[in-house]
Formats: sequence, C-alpha cells, structure tokens
Amino acid sequence: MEDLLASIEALIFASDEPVSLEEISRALGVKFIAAREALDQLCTAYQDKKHGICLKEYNGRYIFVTKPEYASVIKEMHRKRITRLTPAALETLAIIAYKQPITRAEIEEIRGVKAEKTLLTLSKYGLIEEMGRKESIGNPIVYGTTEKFLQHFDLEDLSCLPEVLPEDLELVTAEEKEGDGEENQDQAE
Amino acid sequence: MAYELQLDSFQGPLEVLYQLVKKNRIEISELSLASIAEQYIDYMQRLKEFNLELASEFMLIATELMQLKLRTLLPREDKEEVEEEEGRNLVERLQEYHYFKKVSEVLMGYEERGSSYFQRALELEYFIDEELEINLEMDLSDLQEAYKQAMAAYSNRSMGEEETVDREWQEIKFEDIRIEDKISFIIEKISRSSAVLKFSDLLLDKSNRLEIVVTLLGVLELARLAKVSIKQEEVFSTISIK
Repeated sequence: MEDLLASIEALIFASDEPVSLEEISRALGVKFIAAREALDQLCTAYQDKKHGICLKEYNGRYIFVTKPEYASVIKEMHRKRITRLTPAALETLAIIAYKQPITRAEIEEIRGVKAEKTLLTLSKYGLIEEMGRKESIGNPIVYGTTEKFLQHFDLEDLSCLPEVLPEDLELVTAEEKEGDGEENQDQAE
Repeated sequence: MAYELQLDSFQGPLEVLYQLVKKNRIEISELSLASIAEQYIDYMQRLKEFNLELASEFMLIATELMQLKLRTLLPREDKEEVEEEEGRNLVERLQEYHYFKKVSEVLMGYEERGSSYFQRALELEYFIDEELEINLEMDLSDLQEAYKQAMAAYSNRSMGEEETVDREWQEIKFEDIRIEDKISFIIEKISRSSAVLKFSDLLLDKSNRLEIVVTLLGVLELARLAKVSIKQEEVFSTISIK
C-alpha cells in the first residue's frame, strides 16, 4: 500500500495535466478500486498542516496544487501573474457554461452584442473549446467549457456551477420600493 | 431631462436597457420597460459611437419598446396573438440577461478562489508555439559555429556603419537591380563552377538587402523553371544550389 501511494504521488507530480483514475490504474496495473482508495488516502495525508500542497480533483482528474493559505507568499516570490476576466468575458463564459453546447449566434442573442472577439480570447486561454457542429442551417460551431475552466473557477465539475435563487434576482428590494415612490414624485414636480 | 449612463465599456443595446432598469430601480416587466422607452431612445439618439450593425440592433429594441409603450396606451384586445408572433420578447430577454449578470457576479468570487491555487510551473515547451520546433540536439561545435556566425554578422554590420558616419546627410541612391540581370549572372556563375554552390556565393561582397532579395528571387525563378535545384537542410541554414 505504501508503495502504491508513493507511485501515485509520483505519477501525479510528474504530470503537467491533471491525471485521471483510469490513467493511474492502467499505468500501475492496479484495480480501479485500489487506486481510488489510495488516492483518497493520499488526499487525506496532504490535508495535514505540515504540507503546503494538496491534491485537487477536477472532473475526475487529479492534480497537485499549492494550498490557498500560501497564495500570498507564492505571488510575492514568483511574481505570478493573475489572469482575471473582464466582466464582458465573464458573462460570455457564464452563458457558455450554463447553456453548452451553444452557438455563437445564441450567445449574441443573449448578450445583445457581437461575441466573436470574446470567444477568441476565451479559446486562447483554453477556457472554452469547439465541441462540434449543430445540426441546423449552416451547421454552426458549438462551444463548451474545458477542464481548465473548472480549474480556473475551482469547480469540481459542471454540476458545481452556482445557482442563482429567485430572491437574489430581485432588482428592487422591498425597502427601496417604498422609498422610491416618494422620490419619483419629487422628480415629477 | 438628460440621462447620463456610466457604462464601463460599450456593451450594446441590452446593456443600455439593463442599466436604465437599474438606474430607475424598476422591475423587469412590460409596464416598467414601457415607462423607460423614452429614456432609451434619448440615449440612443445621443450615442456617438454608432455603426450600422449596432444601429440596427438598437433600432430593433427601440421598436419593441415602442410596441410595449403603445400597448400600455391602447386597449389590448389581441394581446395573446401578438405575443405568440414575437417569440422571445424583450422582457424574457432582459430577465435572462439579468440572470447571467448575477451568475457572473458569483463566478467572479469563484475565480478569486480558483486563483489562490497554484500548480507546478509548466514545462517551457508548453508556452512555445506549436509551429516552432527547437532543435536541442546540438554539440559544442555547433554552438561555436553559431557564435562565429553571429560575431561575423555583427562585425559586418558595425563596419557598414563606419562607412556612413555622416548620418545627417546621406544620399539615398536609387539602385537599379534587375532580376533579368541577376538571373543571367546566376546562370553564368553556376555553369562556370562544377561544385554545388551556396547561396552566399552568388552574392557580391557588399550586397545590400535589395540585392539579396533580387538574387533570391532569381534563384527561385530558376528553380521554378527547373533550371536549377535548391536544397536547404533546416530553416536558416545554408541554401545549396546546383
């Protein structure tokens, strides 16, 4: 078991991309369940405070990342550039994430503006990808999000996308409504 | 009354309408949208950045707003009929727009959280354009050769500069290098030598850029006519001609 843990640790460490359970069990010639169990143990072991890194799972793939507590020291020493999306890019990405697979025309219908440039940027950063073509007139390309998207937003998988509750969608709070009536009257005068 | 909207970056007609809804602190409904139709049209008319494509988008929504406005003023008998015709109406579109605004706000927090995890620095190759290949199978002599070439190019360049010390007044000569002349020069040169020629052999000692280009064009033309064959082992390496 010790050996298996160490092998899995080495495998994941040496990989640039997150490694899947299938890849691990195939590479080490162990059963799926055994690999899964070892992974869980490894994950727990790294939660210990003596470790600065932890094992993260995105879409069933595993990767070693540094713990958030040490983000500030890493930024300090390595001058890591943090990429943040602009509001327009973020909104476009949100639409793709919730409605994938989706065509460019469908995105533009929701956003009310052209999306071509934004789609290019999002593709360049590997947050979205072409997922084939839609079977409709002109066979337009459909887009979807990537695993890098999950990692960028720290989502284990797409089912973890946030839900917006109806009450959060209220544009005007009850208090504002009351106060507003008078204000509007003032303006009218 | 003038309404100034502060938009970070121009985001199209739906954004304008959305900002107006927020500014007026109203709900998204047919009635409320009808009430801000004038504000929207007022904004639209004062918009400076207006290309044809956007103009049509803006007009489309303006038309829908006016329809809503009309409906609030006129008794509506055929209401249901009208709605079925339109498909997704403005209220639905704006509600969806609002939904994704809200979702983006939440996602922004997630992005913040995601950016506090760092993964191991990726290998250098990851950042190199896929079109480029780096040949690292070099030995010390290759390196030495590359150094010599670089230094030779450098000394050629600095010598060239000395010749034209007078930088303020420099005569720009019109150089007439004809490709026909170059081609006959190349043919002559090749026919006179039995060995394989290098591209650099075709150049005179003091060839300028134009002359190099014309010579290369000459070689390519000859190759096209199948008069010569050219070979280059790697990008930027010596071109052999025979």
